[in-house]
Amino acid sequence: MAIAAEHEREAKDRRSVTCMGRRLGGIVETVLGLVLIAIVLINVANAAGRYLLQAAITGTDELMVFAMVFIVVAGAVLALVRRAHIAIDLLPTYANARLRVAIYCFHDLVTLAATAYAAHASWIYVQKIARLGTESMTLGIPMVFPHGALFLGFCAMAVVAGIYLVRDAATLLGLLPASTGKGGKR
Amino acid sequence: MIATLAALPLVLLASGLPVFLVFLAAVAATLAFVLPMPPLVLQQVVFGGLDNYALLAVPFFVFAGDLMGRSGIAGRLIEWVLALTGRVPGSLGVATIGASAMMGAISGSSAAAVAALGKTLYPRLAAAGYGRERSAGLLASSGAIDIVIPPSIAMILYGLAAEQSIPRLFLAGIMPGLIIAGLMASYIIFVAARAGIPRTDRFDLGRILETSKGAAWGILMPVVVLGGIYGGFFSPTEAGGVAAFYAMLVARFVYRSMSWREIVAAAAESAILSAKILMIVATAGVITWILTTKGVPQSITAWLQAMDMSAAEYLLCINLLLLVTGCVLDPTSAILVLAPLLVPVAASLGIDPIHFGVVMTVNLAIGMFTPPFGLNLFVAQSVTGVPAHALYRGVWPFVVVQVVALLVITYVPALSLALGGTQ
Repeated sequence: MAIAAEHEREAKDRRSVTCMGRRLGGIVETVLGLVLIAIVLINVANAAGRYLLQAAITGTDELMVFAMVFIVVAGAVLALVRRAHIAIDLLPTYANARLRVAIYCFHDLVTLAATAYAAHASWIYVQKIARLGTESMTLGIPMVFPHGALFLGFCAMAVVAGIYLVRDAATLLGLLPASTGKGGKR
Repeated sequence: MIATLAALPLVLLASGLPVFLVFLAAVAATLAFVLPMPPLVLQQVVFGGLDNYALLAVPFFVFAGDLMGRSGIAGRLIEWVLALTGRVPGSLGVATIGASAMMGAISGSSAAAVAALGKTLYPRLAAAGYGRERSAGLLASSGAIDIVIPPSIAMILYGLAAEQSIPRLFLAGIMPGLIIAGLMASYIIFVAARAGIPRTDRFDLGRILETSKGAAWGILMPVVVLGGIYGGFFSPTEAGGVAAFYAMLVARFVYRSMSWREIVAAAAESAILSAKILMIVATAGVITWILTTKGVPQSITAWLQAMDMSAAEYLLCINLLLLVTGCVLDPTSAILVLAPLLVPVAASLGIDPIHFGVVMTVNLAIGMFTPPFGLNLFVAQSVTGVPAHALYRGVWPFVVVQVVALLVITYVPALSLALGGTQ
């Protein structure tokens, strides 16, 4: 009885974590949408200002590009969580359940290694430009921020890959039911 | 280096790992174990790849295309094209091709066009006597036109990768896009006449006027986008922003088919799709950078010069290479990795880089629906519900038709360069 209750409590915890994750994903998604709309409006205001008022808004190009970097980093992390990146996923699609989980474990491992290396490379670079105090050309934004976004993105991807690796490995070893081990959209 | 930049990516790609992670893993392995380069090169080139104002065109055009599909602009355009082609034999098939070309002139996203057209036209095509296989095949293949007709995301990326003028590439894509559409329409008319498929409609001026009125805002969109670029009012990147803004206004205030909440949801989905594309752009850039600094394009050029290959032979080899590549790799990745390697060789053989860009784009567009891995096949399969083996049978005639179009476009450069630049 006590073991069953403990399993039920664990399952409930997992469900609430998943629910929280989904809600957080939804919030990030909405922010990304609003940022994209803001970039569109800035772009139109800039083009219109140039022709109608003969005055371009200074620094908008830089601002839009940095906002795009934010969209790319946050969107890429979200797509990784949902396992929705562009891939030729015929092998996982047609593999049987056990082989599929084994392939996912392999993917998780490669993702973890690649993004951890990228985060390491990114960190070295961010430290360097922080020491130099580099700023952007027109707005004077410290370049640590846009570069740091990429660093944080790689870190987040490594964390996501690590969590998936643990879950997929547990599923492969039979410690978790297949549905729990999947994680995200597959 | 061959092991980490060629063999490893192939294995990872085949295993189903996301494309950007395939590139990232290949670069990480090369920098960690093969080349004596500091790791910070990775951050520098990835960030440099994204720190590019022209790339903003990608999220802009993706967003414009998404709004077009959700707001009903696409549906109204389809009805308009149907009214125009009512008297032609195989009119429904011709309308599908025409609607695809119209959608290509607005968004430039092939998969989005296949999804939007498939939902509306597949039931009608199947019921009109085209059969499930041929209908699904037509829908999957008609999406290729979208990639070639401007504005085209594939051409924007080619322009960036090969350092070519994007407005010139857009102009160069018009005639080839129309040739593909014309050949496909001819084939469909032939099929309809042979199979005795009845004409869906009569010529009805009242209906044409009525549908024109409904689709006017959609028809005006390519005029605004392309007219703005070639009238010198804005750059291709700004044109993307204007297209998205225009689509938002039409969806919210003219057709009143979308709420602000739905527009934000469409923007969010477009942002995530753009992130997926741009992560590939950023990571592919590092591979290209490594290959370029190691002199790989120069080695290929020297090798081809030693083989004494003519421009025509080179183009034939490129067509074969890209058709195969297009079957297994999406156009974005293929263009970003291959263009910097192949364009210098093409230039050394006297091939115009603008014409070469059109040839690359058409090749990869065909790959989008060539069995077994073409992306549009998966989209068509999910929209129509036609099984893969049946879809493959339905799509083959259109592969042949488009390969014929490709050969014409490849060996008659004037078709691309008449509008796209000087020969």
